[in-house]
Amino acid sequence: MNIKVNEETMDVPADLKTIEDFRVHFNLAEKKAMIEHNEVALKPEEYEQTALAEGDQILVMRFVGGG
Amino acid sequence: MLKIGDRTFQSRLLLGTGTFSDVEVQRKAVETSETEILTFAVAKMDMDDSDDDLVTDLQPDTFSMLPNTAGANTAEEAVRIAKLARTSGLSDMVKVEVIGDDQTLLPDAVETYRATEMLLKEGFTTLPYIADDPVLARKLEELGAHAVMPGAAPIGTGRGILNPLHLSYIIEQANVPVIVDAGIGAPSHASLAMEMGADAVLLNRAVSQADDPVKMAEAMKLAIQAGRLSYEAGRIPVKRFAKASSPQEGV
Repeated sequence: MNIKVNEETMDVPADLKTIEDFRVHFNLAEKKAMIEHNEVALKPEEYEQTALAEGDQILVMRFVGGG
Repeated sequence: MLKIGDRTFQSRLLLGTGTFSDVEVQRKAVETSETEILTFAVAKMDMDDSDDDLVTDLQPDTFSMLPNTAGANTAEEAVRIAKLARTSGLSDMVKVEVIGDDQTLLPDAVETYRATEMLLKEGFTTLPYIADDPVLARKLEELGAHAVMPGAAPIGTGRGILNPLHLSYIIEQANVPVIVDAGIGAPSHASLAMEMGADAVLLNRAVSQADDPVKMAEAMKLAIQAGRLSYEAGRIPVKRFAKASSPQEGV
């Protein structure tokens, strides 16, 4: 399944059905990631009920140093 | 006591977390500064890389997190970044930063105002970063901004307060905290801002890029405390001619 992750096309396993699956697949839990799905920022409790589909756009963001 | 929205703080120094060369030096500088509010940026994660987790290193539980919207050139982009940052569950405060010029990094007044308006509707505690524009500061306060953050000078220039007159207008009219943000280079700059009656100072490179960031963190902390004490004590008026401190008669 092709999706866009941080604006780059990525082929991910078809059994990633939800954002939660995506998060687990990429070990994002430990990294304190913040996730946007099709331009909607998701709260962690929304990961499981948000379906992942071909062509979806995902942003995976994190806090970095800044002023 | 500094009060922003429904939070109160003892420290009047807000510290940025960018451009520290070393995580351990940063941790010590943060500790020495006694800051209670740290700013962060939000950036894309490198999906292949598992580098240091800054947020975990700095123990977000012990600080109030102030994410900024750096990277935004429009109000919509700023709102998008702020909403993402809020999903972390760490903070509903946001430093509204919408840059309007790549060379000076001066903020875009129109987009900053729009972003603040949109973020207030979304329930954020908003701290807009602005130029030293008293009219914009007043309009943002009227809109409901929880603080205003006028720049002393362009970001990272270390030039100090370029327009003390405009800054004094902002301070005198404001009913929300005035946090001087950007352009501070030396403790004397931070102290002057506080002497003038600013409520707090936000700085980053002045500490992170100093030869000894930990020592500079201490200097900034003391300068801000000294400036605040001076403001509360009420300084003497400036006079044109000498005024003797010793008795002029009977000596």
